[in-house]
Amino acid sequence: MPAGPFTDAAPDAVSDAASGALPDAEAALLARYAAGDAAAARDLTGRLVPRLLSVATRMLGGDRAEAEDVAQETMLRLWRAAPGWSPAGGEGGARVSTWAYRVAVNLCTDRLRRRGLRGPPLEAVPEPEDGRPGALAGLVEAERLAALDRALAALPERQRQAVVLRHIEGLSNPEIAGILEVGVEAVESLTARGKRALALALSGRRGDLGYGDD
Amino acid sequence: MAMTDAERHGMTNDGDPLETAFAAARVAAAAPAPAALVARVEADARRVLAERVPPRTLAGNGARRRAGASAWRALVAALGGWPGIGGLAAASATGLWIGFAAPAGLDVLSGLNPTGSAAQATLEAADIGGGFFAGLEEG
Repeated sequence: MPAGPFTDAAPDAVSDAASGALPDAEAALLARYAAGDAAAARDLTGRLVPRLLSVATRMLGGDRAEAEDVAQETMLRLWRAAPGWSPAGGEGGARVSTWAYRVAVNLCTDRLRRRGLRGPPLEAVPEPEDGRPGALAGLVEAERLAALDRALAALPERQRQAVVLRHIEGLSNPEIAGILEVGVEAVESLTARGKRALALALSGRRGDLGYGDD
Repeated sequence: MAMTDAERHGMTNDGDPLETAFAAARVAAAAPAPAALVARVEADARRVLAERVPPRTLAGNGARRRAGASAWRALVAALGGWPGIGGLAAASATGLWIGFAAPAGLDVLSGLNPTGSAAQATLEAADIGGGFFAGLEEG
């Protein structure tokens, strides 16, 4: 894979110590895996892969197949990094999840740049087939989600990354700073600008998306 | 600042379309990954573990290295240390040279006595008049 502008070979000195001194349970699992415990690998897979897949799918404009490749590649790099992972954290003190998110985001960036696009447009959500309230509500919700994903795909890459990590993955600003290798103030600025753009994009479709009828 | 649990579950969005959409996205993001992907990732984990060559035991390696080293040290000491080995090497090289280059090399010695062989010249030079026992017979 060609090197992107962000290095993902090893966590650098941008640590997420500011996010708290909580023990890194995933680092403990990784150490057990490095010692030969296959069950620890299953645990780690369950913890990390859904989140990596979610982030990658949104970074890649909804391309699920490519997002799965990114998630698998990220985990492969983690398995290979396991023997060198110290209990105190990876190089620079990064938590396992921070390191994994960073690798996944960088892999997505590399793929987007090879593609020369920000990401493919999402396919339209099908129209509801009947008037049953349950089915309609479900499809309206799906349409809201699809509208959000379309609006995210239209954001500048860094804003999209910051908004997804903050408001969908629920990470703290210091953690996001560690993943994106920027300062905390930069993260706050990126998320604020991203949210404003998303709100504008969604407000124009408020009636179509059923808001106001809730 | 970290997201609160209420924010995480979209309970404080007050109908804000963006917050409602974020809440829906968070629910979708929490869904388990496809089983096929999970299987591939776990297979990669097992393969990486299997690819690691187990290190040789430190005791085995060290014992073999230590045995070899002490035998070599004993040999060097028996030959008089490194100076002794150097002298042995020089003498061996000289002998080898003499053995291969003898006819041309020994002509240097024959030049000392043009009338006879090198051995005869040596004996005549060492002659002490009557032989070794001559002096002992004089009483």
